[in-house]
Amino acid sequence: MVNSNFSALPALGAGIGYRSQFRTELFLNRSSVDFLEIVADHFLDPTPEGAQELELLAAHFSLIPHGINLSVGSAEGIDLDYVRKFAKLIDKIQPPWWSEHIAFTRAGGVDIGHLTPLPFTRESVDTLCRNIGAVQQIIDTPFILENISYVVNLPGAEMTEANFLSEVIERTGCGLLLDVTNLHINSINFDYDPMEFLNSIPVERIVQLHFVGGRWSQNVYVDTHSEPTPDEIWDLLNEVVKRAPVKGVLLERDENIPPFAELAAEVARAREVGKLHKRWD
Amino acid sequence: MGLAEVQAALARLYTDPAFREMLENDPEALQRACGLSDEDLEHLKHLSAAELEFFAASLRSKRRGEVAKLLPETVAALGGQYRLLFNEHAANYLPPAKNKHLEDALHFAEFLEHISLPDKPWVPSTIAYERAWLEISSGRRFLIVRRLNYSIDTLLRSTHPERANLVVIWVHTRLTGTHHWILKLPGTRHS
Repeated sequence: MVNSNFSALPALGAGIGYRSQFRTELFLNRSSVDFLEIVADHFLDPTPEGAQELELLAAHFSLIPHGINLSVGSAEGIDLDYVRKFAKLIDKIQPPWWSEHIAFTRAGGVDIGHLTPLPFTRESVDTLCRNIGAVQQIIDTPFILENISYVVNLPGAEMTEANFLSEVIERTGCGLLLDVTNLHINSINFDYDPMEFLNSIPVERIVQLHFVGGRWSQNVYVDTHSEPTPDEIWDLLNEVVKRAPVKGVLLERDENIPPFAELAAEVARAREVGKLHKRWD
Repeated sequence: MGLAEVQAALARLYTDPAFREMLENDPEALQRACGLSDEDLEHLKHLSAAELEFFAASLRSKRRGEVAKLLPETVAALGGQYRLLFNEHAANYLPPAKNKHLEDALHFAEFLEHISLPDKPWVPSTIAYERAWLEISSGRRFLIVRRLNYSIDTLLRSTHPERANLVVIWVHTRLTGTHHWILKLPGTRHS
């Protein structure tokens, strides 16, 4: 286990998940964004153009690498080549922390193509701790783990999702990237109280937040990253920032991307929430 | 719980309709195929079929979207048939992790070559043209020669392309990049 001192991490403020579609507008409005999160997988084997893009971004913004394919919950273990490439990226951009999801994306030779939940069992906790320990042997930069949204409820749970996350966080020494949208979506689809969830996790370990709006499809609320953030998620975000010593809040918009001014307005609103609760100046 | 076996079974259930049918109609076959314990199978029997199908559909939709980005002209030519044809392809092919979307697009193009589309006889030319570009630009091939039966300009812009008799040659080298030549053969017919 790595004991990270999360309170010593710098407060980054309000940022946005970098997408090349809005690169030009982003650079024209640099002061509207405090930091960027990059999808690390896009820069692990970069083309010459990708390497240039990374250098350009790193020259102008604080960057947080965010992984999507570590499959840290895979019982068959993790891909150490992937971890080593990730370590090289981290060495290059020197972020204050990095992040991945509590999920598995491959098993039995199948690449699922999406983040999928683990059964909330003791064996899953042990698997995650073993895999995360192997990652921490290679990367000693503070590691924060993100809660995912899911649409399939796995039977055989031995604990609640909140207890599951808490145990993994406690045993691995990782921080938490709380996706408030995912929390909101899961609480709706699986009918639980998000406040009760917050009461059950170590909020002092929350380092970063994600937020965005999702979409309804066949009576299921789906994390599409495609809509403006609705009021209920702003309320939840406000509650989390009030309770937790967050260092960064990040808009994660991937689809149906509006004019940049709309994104910047959401980032500005998130920045104000952090200021209100004295998380940054 | 054998987590590795459960995860492998879940990965199949999410991505392969045959496994979802197995869970529904012959769960013991799923148990044998995935090496599941009795307890694990009992848990999986309680999975919601509706939730599984919803997730499987969302995975297909994601794949469909990514392939559409790589084969935009083919998708435009197929129009409303794209969704059904892609789903048919996806039911029988799962791309590998490496170069996933590219592999998916190339296999989909190959799948389409075996499909008859009598109301749109020009579509095979669109597919052949776009597939060649994918193969050459991804560095998979260095030389490609294709014979096309429709004028490329009208193939990419028109709902009723003009007949033609063409040979297209693509060459890719590290030093000079990609080049392609379009040769008009004698006997070109215009409709």
